[in-house]
Amino acid sequence: MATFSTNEFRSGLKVLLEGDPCNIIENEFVKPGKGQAFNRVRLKNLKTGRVWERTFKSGESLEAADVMEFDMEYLYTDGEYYHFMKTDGSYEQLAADRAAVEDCVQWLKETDACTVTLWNDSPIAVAPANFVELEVTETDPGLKGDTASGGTKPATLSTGAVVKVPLFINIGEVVRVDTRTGEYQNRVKS
Amino acid sequence: MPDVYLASIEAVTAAGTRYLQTSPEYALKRLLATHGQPVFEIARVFRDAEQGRQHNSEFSLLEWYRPHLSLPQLVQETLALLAVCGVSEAAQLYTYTALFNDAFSVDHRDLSHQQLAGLAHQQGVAEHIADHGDSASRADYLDALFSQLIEPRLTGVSVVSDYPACQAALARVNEEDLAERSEVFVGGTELANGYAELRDATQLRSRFTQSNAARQRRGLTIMDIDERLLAALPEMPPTSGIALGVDRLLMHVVGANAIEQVIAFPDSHC
Repeated sequence: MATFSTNEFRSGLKVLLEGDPCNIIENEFVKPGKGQAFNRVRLKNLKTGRVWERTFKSGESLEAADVMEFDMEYLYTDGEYYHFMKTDGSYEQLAADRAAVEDCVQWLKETDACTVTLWNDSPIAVAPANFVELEVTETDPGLKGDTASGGTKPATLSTGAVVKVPLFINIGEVVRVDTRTGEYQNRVKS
Repeated sequence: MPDVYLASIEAVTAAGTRYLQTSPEYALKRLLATHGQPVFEIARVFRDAEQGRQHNSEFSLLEWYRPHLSLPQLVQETLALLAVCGVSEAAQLYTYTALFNDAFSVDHRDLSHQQLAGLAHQQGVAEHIADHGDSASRADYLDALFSQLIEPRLTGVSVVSDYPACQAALARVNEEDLAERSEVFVGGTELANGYAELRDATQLRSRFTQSNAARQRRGLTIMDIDERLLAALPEMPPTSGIALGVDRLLMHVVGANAIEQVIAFPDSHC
């Protein structure tokens, strides 16, 4: 596989570090006045989700990681694997394990669009769309005038996610949620 | 010893391989030797593989030489120039030794090579350094400690003087084993670098030779010794000289946080 040297490091570049595929977040070239230059690099480990900060001598290189992202549709889960299908017309299906969907499993609704990250053709991470519309399956009826809780109450959605919603939201209604913050946006009229 | 880590860009010419200048120093010193008059230049200089928030491989240096002026006097003149450009905060004056001592509770001259390497590793700044056991490696460790742990804490306008002998480059070294070298920092960024100029050609030749040996150890290109500069050196009057990064000064004046913002066609856009 190709290698990249420090002066080719860019935000978004996918490289292998200690055997794990990583996404470069930031590459800072540091040249002290008289000394050897180095690069301070922040990387996100695509397998574990952790952010690493590492120092590399200028000119050092890392192996490129075969990482690609695809738009896919979530199909279903058989309990162990989560199945997705490419939406590029190929109908190709892929199975992701629990680890890959850990961060977003609470937002996965069948037929919803997701971005799946593949490393050497295996799914390692899944990102839901920025906004999802999910049905409320459980919540207390909101009592008018009840402002003790700040005007919101918890609601469980069809995927199991629990979100704070306004008091007027009832079971059966569909709400729009920002998956990045877990916050209620608005009610969706059907 | 001249900067081991400055990489010159090669130019292929009909007359053979030449190098783009990394600084106008040698040329200006030769003029100084011939005419004995103060001289300045705003020069385009070129340093390979230097690209970052404060680096562009092509940049501009304002460099000038003042015969018969001491380095402290030249530093004052530089501060006056900065004030004209809108950088008028009062300067704080420091010595390298004192700053190092405040940070690490030791005089850097008392540290052996091993002890210095140990300190740098302990402070977590030596990860990128390959130790060759020579003067250049000593300079590397000192530089890593100073630039990563001390420089960022210098606020406003700061002048640091009396650098370690191993970082003298073309400056004189005094009896206390300190280089007569001063640097001006603005907001933690190195803006200018000045010397009480070395006029001893034998000493300078020896520094060039050492520098080439260090480069060879590191697999870097050996640079031909500039014989015309060495021949001119003894003809130079006692002089102080300084080089100031014009682009970085501009960055400070307009509040840019990347050098690309003050260069029309930086490395990434040329």
